Amino acid sequence: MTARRTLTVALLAGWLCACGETPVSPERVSEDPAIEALLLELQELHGAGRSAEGTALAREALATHPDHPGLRVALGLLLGSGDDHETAIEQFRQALSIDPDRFDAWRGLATALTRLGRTLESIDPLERCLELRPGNHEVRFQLGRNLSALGRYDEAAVALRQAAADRESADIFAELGILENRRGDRSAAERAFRGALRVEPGHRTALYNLGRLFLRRGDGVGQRLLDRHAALTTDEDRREYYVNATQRPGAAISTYLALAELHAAAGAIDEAIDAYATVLARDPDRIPAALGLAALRLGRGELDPATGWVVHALTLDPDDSKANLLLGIMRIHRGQAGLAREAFAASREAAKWTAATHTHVADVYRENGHPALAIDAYRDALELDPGGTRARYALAECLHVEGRSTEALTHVREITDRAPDFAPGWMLEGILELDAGREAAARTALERAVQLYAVERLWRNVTPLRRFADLPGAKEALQLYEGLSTQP
Amino acid sequence: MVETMGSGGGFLDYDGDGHLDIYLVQAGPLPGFDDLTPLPNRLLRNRGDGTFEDVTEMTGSGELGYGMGACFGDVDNDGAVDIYVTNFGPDRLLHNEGGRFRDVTAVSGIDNPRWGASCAFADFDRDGCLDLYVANYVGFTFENHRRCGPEGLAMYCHPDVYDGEADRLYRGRCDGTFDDVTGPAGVRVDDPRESKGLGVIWIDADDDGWPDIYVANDSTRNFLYRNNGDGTFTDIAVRSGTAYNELGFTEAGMGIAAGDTDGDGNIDLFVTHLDFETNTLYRNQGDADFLDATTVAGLAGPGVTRVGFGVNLFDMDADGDLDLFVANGHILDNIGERNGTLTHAQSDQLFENVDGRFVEITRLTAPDLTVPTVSRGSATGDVDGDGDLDLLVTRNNGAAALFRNDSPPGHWIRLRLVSRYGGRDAVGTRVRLYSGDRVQVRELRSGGSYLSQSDPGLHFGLGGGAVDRLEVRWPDGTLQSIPGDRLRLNDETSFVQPAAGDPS
Repeated sequence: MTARRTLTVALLAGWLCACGETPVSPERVSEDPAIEALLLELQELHGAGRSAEGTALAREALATHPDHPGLRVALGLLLGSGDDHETAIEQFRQALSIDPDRFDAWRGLATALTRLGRTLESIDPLERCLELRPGNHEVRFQLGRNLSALGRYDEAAVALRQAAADRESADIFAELGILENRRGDRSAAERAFRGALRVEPGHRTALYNLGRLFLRRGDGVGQRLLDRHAALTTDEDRREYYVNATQRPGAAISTYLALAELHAAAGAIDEAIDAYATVLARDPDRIPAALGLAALRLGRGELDPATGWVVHALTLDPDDSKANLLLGIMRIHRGQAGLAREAFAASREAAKWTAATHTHVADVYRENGHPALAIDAYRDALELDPGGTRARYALAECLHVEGRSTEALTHVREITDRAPDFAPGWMLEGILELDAGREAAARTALERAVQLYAVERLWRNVTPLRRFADLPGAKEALQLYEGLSTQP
Repeated sequence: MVETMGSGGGFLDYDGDGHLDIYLVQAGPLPGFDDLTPLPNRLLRNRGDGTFEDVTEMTGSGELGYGMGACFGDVDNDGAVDIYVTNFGPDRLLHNEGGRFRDVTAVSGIDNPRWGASCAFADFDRDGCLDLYVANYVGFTFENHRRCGPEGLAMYCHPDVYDGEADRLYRGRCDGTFDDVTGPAGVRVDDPRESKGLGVIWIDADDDGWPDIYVANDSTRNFLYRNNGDGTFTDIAVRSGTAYNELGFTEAGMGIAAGDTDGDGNIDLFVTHLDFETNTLYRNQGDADFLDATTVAGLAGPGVTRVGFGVNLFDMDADGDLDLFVANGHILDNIGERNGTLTHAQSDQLFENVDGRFVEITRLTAPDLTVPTVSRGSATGDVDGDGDLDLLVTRNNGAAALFRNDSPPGHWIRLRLVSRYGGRDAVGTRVRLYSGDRVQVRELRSGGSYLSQSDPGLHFGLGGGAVDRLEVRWPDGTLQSIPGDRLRLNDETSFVQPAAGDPS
């Protein structure tokens, strides 16, 4: 019985968490094996999006077990997933009439009331939840959010700050930002949205609101944050579209292919691999899918399966430019730089490379310890696109590492000239100026980096300071940077 | 999908007798229907005594397309209001020739064979000729029709299933013909998936005298095209805060109302949405910088289980602030089969503005509006001439309804404006009314709401107060100050724009 109870608890916990809820309390789980099995089935139906079936089954069971609070809660959750919150509320209330201390019923009731816009009514159930589980940060977060919606800003701030203290969550920080926006305190809002982006650099609400706050005060970085938000939103919308499209009968192979590419772009690698695999299962001759799989496997460091997919693509078309490109990249990873150049030549013969392709190959050379080849490849990229900030920056770093600091500084100055909002450029310029003994110039560059860095770091989703620490001569520059950045 | 979205209508004075007439757009039979009897749009003439007569046939206004919406404007400045009808299929322009309408689409230069939704006239280049914006919805056709919904339950598809259709901007030439300037004016999007327009309204968001365009898109980000004053537009929706809600998420935009909801002299925007989204109030803080004030204004909760379409900001009780009406009705006719507590027919909602917060008063003051219906379009106008604004609500697959406003009489004025240098309709005129320490602002516009048009006459409620003065900014940008004693209290006053050099 103990083992079964544990299983049920875990399953219910998973179920409720999937709804954004909090796990059910273990002591309240049914000890009736039949009902436990039913709860398991209801959870599966819920997970499969078959809430109508689950609802019917739960109702049937309640006909014979009308006083089972767990079944009432399960039915309420199923109804809620179909947006039938009114009926869900009835179920939660009935569960509470049987067991007034049932946390999940109070939580479900609060959620249903919130979804119906009955925010004021949701406050009592949320507070009851916190009496039962004072440490539940999700409930405290919801309470803060609902109090904010009611205009009870001071109480909301207390709840949200405590929730943030309990758990560092981008959602909580973003809600705090919205609260401060509503209060009209823009600097507090900015701090909160920055906090959200520190936890989750791609947090859409924080990107959007922080971008607008920056724009309001005339800071051009705001537009970049908004662009980032728009790109995320567009990609997410497209992904949702293709996910829906693949669920329709007779979805085309091209739909799966498009979905795979969007998953990959969003970093959902498992989903992307599944989608590519579906394409190849239906049509093994789809070269883009084979190459997509190869690239994803390579990204995971799975060199052998990646090579297998590239070879598969080359079997289908030995002259395919992308297949030869990937083959070359794999050869670099395998320590066969000479053979890689042959593959690259074949690739370039089939199709002209873009600046981005040259840059990518240069990155691979650099990562695999071929700085001279990397420098050549970055120069190729810049020949095609002289304004390419990323390529020029990487070239400058390579030159600096190779001890060619004067050349590096020339490139960095061109970057800070062309792209004055690009914080890493100022950072590197500061390092190079210090390296050359020009402290005043270094200070000027680093001051600009400090101004830009907080946002730039979030935007680029990297931790560049760590990367700078590896550069020659960075130590002193970083000390100066830290000093500047902690000044009031 | 097409049969669940319409239809609209609105108020116009087609015969110039001073009484508001009603134009109602009708859909019609579709392939597969048993009854293929065409359903012409209807024009109902106001007899002046609170009753109407159907004058469709005698006026030739019974357009037979699969109708969606309509907007009205005097496209050739001949003093008679013309009708533009959006259809699922080619739109139509009906020219008013002394009370009879002639279909002039073929010679007008307008060619919009897409799924047109809302439309609106304005003079965006201030050349004195009305221009036209048409919000197009999605690329649904009978050929690409898809079956949606869970197994065993066919439901109308989400718009995500279809690509969007690019909107159209037509520049008027003052003679009833138009040029398609969508591309040159910059009101196009590169990715048609982004453009799923249902609502459109012209507002001067940044108060620079040049009308801007706001488009509500269904489940994609909204557009706010700022008029650059040189015949081109720039989409500033994202930076203005009107593309997404405060969470940075898209919503299913349907209808739009514009007006100053908090008495700060700036025009705000209110957009209706799907159930379990908020109808969203974007408050203009000046210079087209908007803040999502839905929650602050008390509007986050009341509409959450309803699907909002038509929407109007109007001073229902003449107390000097703008109240709110939302027409509701679910898109899915069988929503009840999926959700036991949601219904296809839903009650409409009326909100009283209390110091910038909105309080629902439907049950209290307008019980007739609580009867569940499948509402779509809505428009305001004083059909009985008693000084308060009545409501026209159009329904999906049902009779339109006219709700007479019997609010206790307060002081009010109404303005009829004739522009000398802009289009005769004076569309785009902005009027500020000063009364003590209060200021009210109105813009004279066509279109708005959802598939509908309200009476463009400017109505101001005054409560118990009086008018100190009016400041009128005519469509060509000239300013006129009018002292309060030139206005007829509790009556309509007409003004013709002064000729250049005349004392204002």
